[in-house]
Amino acid sequence: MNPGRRAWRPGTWSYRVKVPLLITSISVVTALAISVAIALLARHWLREDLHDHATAVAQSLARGLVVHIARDDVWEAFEAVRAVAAVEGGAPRCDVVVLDRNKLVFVSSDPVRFGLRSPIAVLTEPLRRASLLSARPGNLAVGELREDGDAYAIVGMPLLSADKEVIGTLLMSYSHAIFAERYRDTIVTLTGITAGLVLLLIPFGWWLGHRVANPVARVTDALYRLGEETATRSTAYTAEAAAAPSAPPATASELDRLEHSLALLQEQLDEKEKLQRQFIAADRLAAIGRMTSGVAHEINNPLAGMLNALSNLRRDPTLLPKTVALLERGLEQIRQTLSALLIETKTSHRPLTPSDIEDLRVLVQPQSQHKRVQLVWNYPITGELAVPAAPVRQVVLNLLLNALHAAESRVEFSASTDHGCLTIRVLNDGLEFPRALRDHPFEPGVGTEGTGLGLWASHQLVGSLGGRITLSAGSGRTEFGVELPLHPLPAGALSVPADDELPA
Amino acid sequence: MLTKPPPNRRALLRAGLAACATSLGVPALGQRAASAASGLRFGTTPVFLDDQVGFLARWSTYLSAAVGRPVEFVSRRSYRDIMGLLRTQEIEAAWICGFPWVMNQAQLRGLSIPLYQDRPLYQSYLIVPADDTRSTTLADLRGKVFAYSDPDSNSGYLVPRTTLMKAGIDPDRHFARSFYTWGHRNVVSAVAAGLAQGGAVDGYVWDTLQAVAPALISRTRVAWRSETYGFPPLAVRATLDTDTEQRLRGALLRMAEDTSGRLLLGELNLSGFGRFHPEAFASIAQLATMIGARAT
Repeated sequence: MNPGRRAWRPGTWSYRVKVPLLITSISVVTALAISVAIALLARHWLREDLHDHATAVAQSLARGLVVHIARDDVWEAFEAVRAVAAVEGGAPRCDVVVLDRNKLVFVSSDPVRFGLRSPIAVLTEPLRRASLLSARPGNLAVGELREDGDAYAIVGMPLLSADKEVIGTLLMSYSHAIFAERYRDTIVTLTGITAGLVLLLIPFGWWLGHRVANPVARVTDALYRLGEETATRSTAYTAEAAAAPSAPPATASELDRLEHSLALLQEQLDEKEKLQRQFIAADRLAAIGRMTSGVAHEINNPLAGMLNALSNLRRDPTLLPKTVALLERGLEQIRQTLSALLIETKTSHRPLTPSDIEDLRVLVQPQSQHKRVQLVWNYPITGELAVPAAPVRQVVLNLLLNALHAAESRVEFSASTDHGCLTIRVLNDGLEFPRALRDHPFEPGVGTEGTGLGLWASHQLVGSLGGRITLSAGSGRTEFGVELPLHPLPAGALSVPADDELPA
Repeated sequence: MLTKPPPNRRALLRAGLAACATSLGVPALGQRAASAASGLRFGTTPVFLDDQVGFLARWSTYLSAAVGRPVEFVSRRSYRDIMGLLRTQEIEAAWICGFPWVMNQAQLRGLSIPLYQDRPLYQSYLIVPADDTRSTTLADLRGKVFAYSDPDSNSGYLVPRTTLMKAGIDPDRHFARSFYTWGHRNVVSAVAAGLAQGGAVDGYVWDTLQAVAPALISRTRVAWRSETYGFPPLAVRATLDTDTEQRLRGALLRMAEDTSGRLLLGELNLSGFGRFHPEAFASIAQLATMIGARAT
């Protein structure tokens, strides 16, 4: 998978990223949602405030205005409406117009636009609409109006004299623009708070997400390694498992219990692995045992010849040169046999060489001679091969011994390198491999020769080298094939059990 | 509102004994005792910038020291209110306008005429909004809204009305609407705000506002200046004892002679306080006769 494309598929992301991202996103979205809700509420409250304010102002203004109109005191009325309409030095908050009983302007907050004695026609649309609000005398009517993209709160209030005579009308129009300014301030403050909150929530959410996701990721990593690391026995999980108590407390979370059982699983797998290595080591020695009679024979025959030659020499001292040569040959043969056997019992990390293959031939030669089986050796390889010698020798020796055991008259061995791969084939013409076992020939207990673990051990060893072992049987022949990649795994991965790991 | 402290019993007893001894001395004694107890009450009107509380406090401190009696200022909305207080003897002195002076001479005694630019004279200004560059006379404001200062003001009412009358114009019909602002400064505000298209204002007040409120003044323009009239005088009620009157006059006339007095005069934008001479108001008396005003 292309890593660039993979980055765009959240389904493939790690929980270490997804969970923090999710928690952070939820926090941020919640903060934003609350802010939006507050903003909407603030808008509503500000509007309510504006209407309440307009009402309160109109009511308090009306009391004084009645007196000023009655006394025809334009100046006092002007000071009253101007004080309401404009903050000192600021923009007008609203337009206030007082009409006299003839519906002419008595006074207004903006005398330049609405001069004294002007008719209603010169007023702005909101004020004209305010004059049309049907309010009962002495009561106030509040309305709302949209005009030229701006919204207005409008107030109309008939002014009554003490004897309930209508002596004028108070009109007010508040542009929502003034509350828009306050709203903007509120939004700016709110945005600041939200931004601060988000800045706090992002790292906190991220940290919290990590805390939640880390155990999951740890368990996942450990499980992943369990499946992957068959060669190198990781202790990734055992380290933490060692710290864990033998049984998790009943109150432990699911993840804690999962971790615990994972640790147990790891322990069992380690145990099994240890056992496997012991079995493989045992099998190696068992194969040597199986060769022992042949090897003994191989030693015994030259010894008998040499003893015979020595007794002939005693009778006829002139035979000395011949006898010495014979003894030399016999001892050389014994030395060769024993050295091949010695190498087999030792473990080493050196690469496979043609001499290892030769050793194998030396080791199985006596067996083949004893059974009068023809050994066909096809081995066109020279030089070192990038596979460890010890496990390959163990596997091939096992297969050869099995083949010799089963063979009628002929065992073929061939080895070749092709496409970075070492291919070894061991073939015999003997008894067919039992049909019932062909589907799972590498399970422990298959076969009666040796420990019954030979094929299983070979399978394990080949697997640990990253290769595969196959069986093909039929029409009077049984063939085992081994394919090993010539790109060896790291040195540690190729280790074979040392002798000290053998069961006591 | 001033509250008179209750006279103590010994003072009452003494007053009672004095009343028994001589029936003539009663009102004089009673008044003197009340004045001494409550200090000298000085009424102010919008003939000057009388809404400057800090200034009045400093002037009060200065006059109290100079007169040797506590002097307190009493402000009211209109000239008429202050005249009423003088008449009811609730205040002893007041800074009034030439028009009320000529109307109420019988109940008053002149104290001093302030000197504006070294002369006891001032003018009435006709002001219009700054953007009105055409109007030069009251006649030009026909059909407009006009702001008078106070119905008892010479410069803010009497002068513009008589000027129109001299031109053969009925001041009551000339303007579409007129109103009082109860203060010269308010006339300036009304014209600056566009509430009125013209206003009559005390020239001294307008000049002084140029330094105090230049932004306000810049929105108005002086379209016409009247001839000079006697500067709004200071007066005491006729019933005030001459001793107090003399001490108060002396204090005022000597203000230009010491530093703190000159500082206060600087704030008032005046050269000093001069002697009172009733002939300064003869021209105002003529105007008053012209509109048929009667003494109230």
